Amino acid sequence: MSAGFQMHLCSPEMAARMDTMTDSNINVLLVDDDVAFTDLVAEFLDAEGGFSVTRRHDGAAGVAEANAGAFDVIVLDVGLPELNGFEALRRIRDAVDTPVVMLTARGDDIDRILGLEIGADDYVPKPCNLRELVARIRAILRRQARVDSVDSAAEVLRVGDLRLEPGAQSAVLGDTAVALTGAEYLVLEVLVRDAGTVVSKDAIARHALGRRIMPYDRSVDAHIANLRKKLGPLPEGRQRIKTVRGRGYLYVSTA
Amino acid sequence: MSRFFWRILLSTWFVVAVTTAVSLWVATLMPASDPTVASGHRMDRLVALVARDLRAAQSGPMAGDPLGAARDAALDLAPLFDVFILAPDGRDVLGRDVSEDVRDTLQKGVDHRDGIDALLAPRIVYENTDLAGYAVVAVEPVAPVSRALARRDVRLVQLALLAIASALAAVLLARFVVRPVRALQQAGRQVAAGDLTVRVAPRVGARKDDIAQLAHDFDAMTARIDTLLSSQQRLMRDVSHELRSPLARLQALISIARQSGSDDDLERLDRMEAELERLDTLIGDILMFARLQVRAEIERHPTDIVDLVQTVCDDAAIEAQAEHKQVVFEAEETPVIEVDSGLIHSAIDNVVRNALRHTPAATAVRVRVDSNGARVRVTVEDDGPGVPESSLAEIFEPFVRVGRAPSGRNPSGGIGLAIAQRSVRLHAGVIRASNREPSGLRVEIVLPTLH
Repeated sequence: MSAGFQMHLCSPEMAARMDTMTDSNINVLLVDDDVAFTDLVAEFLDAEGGFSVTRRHDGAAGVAEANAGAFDVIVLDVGLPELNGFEALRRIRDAVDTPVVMLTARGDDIDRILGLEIGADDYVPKPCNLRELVARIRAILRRQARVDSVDSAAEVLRVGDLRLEPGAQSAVLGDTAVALTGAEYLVLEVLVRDAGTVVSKDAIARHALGRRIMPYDRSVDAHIANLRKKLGPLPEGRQRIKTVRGRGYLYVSTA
Repeated sequence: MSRFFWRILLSTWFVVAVTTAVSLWVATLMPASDPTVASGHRMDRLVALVARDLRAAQSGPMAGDPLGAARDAALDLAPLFDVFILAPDGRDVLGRDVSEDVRDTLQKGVDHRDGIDALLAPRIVYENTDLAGYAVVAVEPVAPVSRALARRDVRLVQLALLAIASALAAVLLARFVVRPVRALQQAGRQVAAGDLTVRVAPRVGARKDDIAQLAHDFDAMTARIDTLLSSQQRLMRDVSHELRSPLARLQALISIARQSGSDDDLERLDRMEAELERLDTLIGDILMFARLQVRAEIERHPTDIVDLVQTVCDDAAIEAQAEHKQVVFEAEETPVIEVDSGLIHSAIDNVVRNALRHTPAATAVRVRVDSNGARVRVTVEDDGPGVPESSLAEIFEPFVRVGRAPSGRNPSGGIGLAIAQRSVRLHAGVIRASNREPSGLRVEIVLPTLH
């Protein structure tokens, strides 16, 4: 079934949804109040090939669409009128796990970190080079594919009181399950797999974000901060994840 | 207690004490009556009456009161003087108490007293002891206050009471004045520190005087500044948003042009993108500076400054390579301090980038972190042309061009050092610039380890 044939039969949105089944197309939901900008992004992705783009121009419509449709990735602008990007992200996260890339204004570190805390998978500065946006989307999907392909019967990782189940993508601390976002889980996984040794920020970024670390990139640090907050200290009171000056991070192995 | 409070208290107290002392003194000076010729004449007649009655009493028993007429005459004189007719046994024939002071004066004269006692002593204006053992004495009445003060013990108690009462009054007055002034002062400081939500009127209470009016005016002023600032902030935000939307569209258009562009176009597109990014960075910096201007509080968390500076240097080194410049980093063991790492990161980043901009190709920017326990210092040195001594402070002003900046491809620091200064000051730290020998600039950031 060719994409062109589908287009004759259904509305573009319907086609977008059906395309998820074919796997050939990446379904992108783009939520941004700047109509001209979304048109340009759609044009670019169209020329790039392999994407179908659904556009929404306010937070409420974006959330409704995100929670109803089956998208591979959602690109969400922070500066939406009324229901802003963070609030929209919160509502999306309440319903679905679809990866979210936030578009944030440059120089707004706080905004980026906040987005990652709420559960965004990555952020792209806006204005941005659209190739960069495409690269980030592909990186997230590669990572997602890796997560999805993990055999659910795969080994369970254990360090001290922490248990990671790669299949279920969940962390259990003692008897309590800790809710982690996809990116947080992968950061923790790469650290726990090599517990007791230093993992560089770049290695963490490649594993968890599917990309290299960028200059002035604090996303790994933000995910680490989230993990520290969610996991708390070790039973004996020490920090679980240590910063190793100039080299990276280390999960303290209690053994 | 502030100095202001003590000043008001002490000056009020002083004024009360001086006023009391002066009025007492004046009271003692004021004669209760004016001895006139007429009264002198009446005294003579009184003495004549007493003498006649005494003679009559001595020559034979009399019916009735022997000194009746004299007694009446003495009472007639009462408004002018206290007139005592003293019997040989020293008692007043009218049965009135003759005060110790009067007796004392009669026996010893006024002169044996001195100081305030002499001042407060009763004055004897007429004395005739030449009446067969009887004496007629006229004493100028003493003002009740002076009379009381004439007694030493009373005087002490009175002085003590006076001191306590006036002190109490002074304290109350001082508090009445100082408390609202202090509330205003505190509010002024909070406003200066950036908190425009402060209102003083509720703290001043239910008074309706000039100070209350001042408090209301202060509140009105603060509210006005608050409105102005937030509307300016909103304007900045809106303008930047409005600028960014076309920037984002431009950037998207360039990306699309790239998809189908020839190689010739690509080079121009690269340059367009670079300029666009510069513009975007500038908008971001202006926004950040505007936000920092009104920010009064920072979110501190334990931060390894060495690690933070290392990260900045690593990032900067990558960008410096393109221009054949280096970033050399060295650090001493430094305590972890509590700072807003985002702000300190941007402060150090701005200083390092500024140094890289001015250091010539094939040279290095040196970044050093050291600590003496009480403070952590980050020093950034370049080999650039430095800054005229008189302009060293100006480089921290936004968009001030100070000689050294080679304009053109890389215009002057813009607003980066201003952001750095504001960030450091929010941490109660110091940032300063000095020239190096033979040439170059050194910028030091000093942060206290305790806050």
